[in-house]
Amino acid sequence: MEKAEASSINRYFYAVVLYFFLWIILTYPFSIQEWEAGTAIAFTASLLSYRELSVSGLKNIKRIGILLFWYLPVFIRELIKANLHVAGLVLNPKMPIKPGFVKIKTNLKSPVARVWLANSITLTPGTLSVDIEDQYIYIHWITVGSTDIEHASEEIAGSFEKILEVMFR
Amino acid sequence: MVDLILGWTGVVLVFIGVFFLFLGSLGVFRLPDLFNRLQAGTKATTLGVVSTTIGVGLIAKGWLVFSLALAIFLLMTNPISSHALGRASYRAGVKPYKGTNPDLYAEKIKKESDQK
Repeated sequence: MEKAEASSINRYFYAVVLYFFLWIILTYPFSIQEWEAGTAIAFTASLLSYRELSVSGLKNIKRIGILLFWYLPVFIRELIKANLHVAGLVLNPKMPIKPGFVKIKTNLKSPVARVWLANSITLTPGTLSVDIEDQYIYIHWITVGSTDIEHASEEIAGSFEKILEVMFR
Repeated sequence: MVDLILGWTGVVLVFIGVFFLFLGSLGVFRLPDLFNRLQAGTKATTLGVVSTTIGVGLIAKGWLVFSLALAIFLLMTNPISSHALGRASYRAGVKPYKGTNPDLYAEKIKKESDQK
């Protein structure tokens, strides 16, 4: 569901937290002086850019938590599988490819969630998302399994869609 | 001791990364058309580069935080660039390999141009 956006103050503080964290990472050998400068800069820079940064504000921090502890392990497993799949295709002398463009349907409503889904699909075995139109994603599939929308959606997007649904609730 | 283990883990990660990068370039060389090549290119470069960067971070520990940040940015931007390349080249008229069987995307583009 695309809800109304969070209040300005909420979005502002989300920007502050994010910028401060980024500053800490980029000035890695930690020191108090850097942190002081970082605080000042985070507050100023957020003032200029919080409108463009996020719509849902501090809720994104919960999302980042889900991202790190639930999404990332699944994603890494899929990425390794994708690479072994490509390796198998490339090293096989006959190259058993059967490419095609298929169309899948997603139930995700928020545009950001759809972008995440499309990106995840690109990095999973044998699929590359080419275009997106409302709730349909067009996918180049290197070994087409099923051209039926329902089956293809389940096979390609199934595991990620569940996680993203919780993440962007 | 811990240093040694981390260092060797780093070396192993770098080797895995290099191996997949090699397979990716082989894929770009062998696969028949742009879209298939793009697939091999994206997947192999993502895992290859991420694994190599993290490996380097483990070998030179002063850089570990930076290399993790670099890996995250790569993971977020790499699929976007390959999506953009695929979409743009299809629309610019790059023909897919002749064995490409269901081509639902062609139907969509045809429909769009009919509407204009």
